[in-house]
Amino acid sequence: MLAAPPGVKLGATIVAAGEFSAPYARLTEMRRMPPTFAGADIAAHFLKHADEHTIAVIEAVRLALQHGQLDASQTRDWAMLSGPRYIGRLAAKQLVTRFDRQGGSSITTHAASQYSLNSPAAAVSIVLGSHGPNVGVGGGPWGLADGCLTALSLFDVQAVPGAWLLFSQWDPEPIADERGQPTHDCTCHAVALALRPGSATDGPSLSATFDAPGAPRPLIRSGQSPFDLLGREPMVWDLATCVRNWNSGLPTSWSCPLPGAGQLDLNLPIEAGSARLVA
Amino acid sequence: MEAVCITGIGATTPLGHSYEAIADALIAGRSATRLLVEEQAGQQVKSITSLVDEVPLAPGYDAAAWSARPKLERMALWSVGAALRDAQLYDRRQQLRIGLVVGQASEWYRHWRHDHASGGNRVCQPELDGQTLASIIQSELQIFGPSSSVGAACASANYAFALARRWVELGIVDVCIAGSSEIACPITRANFANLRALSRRFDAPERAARPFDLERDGFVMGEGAAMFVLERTSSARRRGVRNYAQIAGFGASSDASHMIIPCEDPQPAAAAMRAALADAQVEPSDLGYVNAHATGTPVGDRAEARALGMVLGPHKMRTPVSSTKSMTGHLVSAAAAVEAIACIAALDRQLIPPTINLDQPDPDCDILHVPGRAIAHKVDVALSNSFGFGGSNTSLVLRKAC
Amino acid sequence: MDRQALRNLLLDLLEQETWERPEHLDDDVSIREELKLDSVDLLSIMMRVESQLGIKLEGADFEGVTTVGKLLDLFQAKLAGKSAGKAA
Repeated sequence: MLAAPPGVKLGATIVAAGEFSAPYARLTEMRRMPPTFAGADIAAHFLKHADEHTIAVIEAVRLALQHGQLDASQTRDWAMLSGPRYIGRLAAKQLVTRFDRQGGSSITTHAASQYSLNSPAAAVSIVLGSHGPNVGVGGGPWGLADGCLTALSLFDVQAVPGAWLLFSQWDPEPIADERGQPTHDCTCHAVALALRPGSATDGPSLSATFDAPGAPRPLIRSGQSPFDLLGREPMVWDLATCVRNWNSGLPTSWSCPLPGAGQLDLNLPIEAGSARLVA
Repeated sequence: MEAVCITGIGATTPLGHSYEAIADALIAGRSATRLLVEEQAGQQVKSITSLVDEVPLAPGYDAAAWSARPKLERMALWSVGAALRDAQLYDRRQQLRIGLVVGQASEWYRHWRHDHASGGNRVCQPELDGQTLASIIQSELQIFGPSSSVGAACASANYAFALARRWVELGIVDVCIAGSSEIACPITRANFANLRALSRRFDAPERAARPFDLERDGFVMGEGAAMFVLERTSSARRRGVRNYAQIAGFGASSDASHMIIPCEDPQPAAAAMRAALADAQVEPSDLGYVNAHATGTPVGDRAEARALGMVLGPHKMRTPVSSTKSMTGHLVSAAAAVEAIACIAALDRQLIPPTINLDQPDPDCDILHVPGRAIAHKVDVALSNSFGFGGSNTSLVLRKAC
Repeated sequence: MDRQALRNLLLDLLEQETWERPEHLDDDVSIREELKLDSVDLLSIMMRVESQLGIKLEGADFEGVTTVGKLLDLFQAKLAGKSAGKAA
């Protein structure tokens, strides 16, 4: 096998970031508020069938644009990547119950389009009017790492001027009743990172550094998950905290293992002269 | 940038469980679609589908334990193992950095539905959702390296190819597995049926999947899995293993129009195709074959034909286009994976798989069809389109191995 | 069910589906251009109409049905056919 250069690194510049958290009830209210902030012609019922992940992610994008002083038109041909962790869980309980009782005719026509990995990305592409690629990533355990790695790789796959990397996760995971409503309090957290290819050494960046070939390889016993070897899994609210701090003028950074590959680093410094600088 | 090629294929589909078997069936124009009658809530419900009746038993597994695994997992595990064996890497897999990119449109939603149908309640037990399909594959087959799950509905596997190719180019893996596994579960079929997107040709199910035909009335949902080993062409040459085809180019775009209905404007789909051709550094005139996404829906097939017209331009009536969904059905997450096999068959055998059931081409789908029977044609470069829900358009360019 | 009752039913279903209630639903209102219904919206509404009126609507029934008036004609025809079937 060809030896790869040691310590291959991929990076992107973070030009804006937004985070949003809301309980279920609030997201239900927001369902009736069509996201028209980017100027696209969005129907009143655009979010009617959307998963709560999608609603939260769209708001995170709006806030990212605001914090980054970006106009939506500046992201028109960007790629959209969404990593909604366990999207569709609330709806799934209702659907399987209905199916058992009433058969196939009871199944909504919107399930496949709204509870898929790329559903939030697709929705954001419509809201922003962006014709760049849209794809879902991760969606389960260690989905954050998965999504970051894919976003960084995708820049080299497809010549796009930028990418939205969108994560969302419930805390705690909602246990639904048969109507598809949570049986307890739960909050959906969403983060939107606006990325441009290439990263300046000291600027806000997301990067992945890969192990050199020949790096010691852990032994995974049969039946053991590769994730068991990695320590604590990063959660979307960890990332949200970083973004919140940065948007408040506090420098922040975050790292996590890149399963099977190396390490991810998020670096959000406060640059002199930037709007985020705390006086 | 050094070329990346496919050196191993493993698959289990309604048309067969190996590249050769599937390629034979596609070239022969064999249909896998048939009538299924199921009981739902006390009623008999008909649908047309193409199912994998029996997933082969993967080597090293106890038959009873194997059968107890979810079908989606069995199809994936069989296909990855077979691909590694085909690439002559299975016995060395623990010494290599093997990347894994699995296309999964909605892994968890399917997982909960299947679990519920088996009597479980995992949808309400999040503490049990600790493994992804990708991590299960890694654990079971003892492969180690970076991995990703990607999903863009019907375009999922094309994204898997694109990402896997990139990782090989970057050198962060020695080889990378890319592909997908999909099951045609009753709830998903009900979703599409309620959308009036599925064919209801119950009196002739083997003729129900008829992309581009004037009498088409929807698609047939299928299931299956196909996994591929990608590595640098120089590595394949050095190892003396078969090079099925080069992954030469990839392009993607969004309709930015509707979560379900494909855009009537052909521009976004055309943009994905053009991006793929540019990435592969080929001209439309270089294309010997296009494997269309065309599922058999009135709107979608017409939109794609228009987009193809824009991209192919004066070469439109010299470039054969077929939809192998007419034979396999629509494998959703795994569609692009199985359709890569169709492209490889065309490159390999210089025969274009047909669109079967194409009795009367829709005049609004004005392209060079391959109705009913395979044709001999020079194919050095093939294009595979896959357009998913949410307006996610992808095109993959495969080049003949030299 | 008379034509005005069918019109009111359609208004209610439109509001339930799209979260918007048209000011008027005259016969000459265009389904696509003025009501801005896409095919999925229309399908959802038609499934509810089927359920509420006990009729069956097929894809072919909608050929040429571009206005509210033609849609109401269709519903009335289906209801009449249903009654005729019962009487026979």
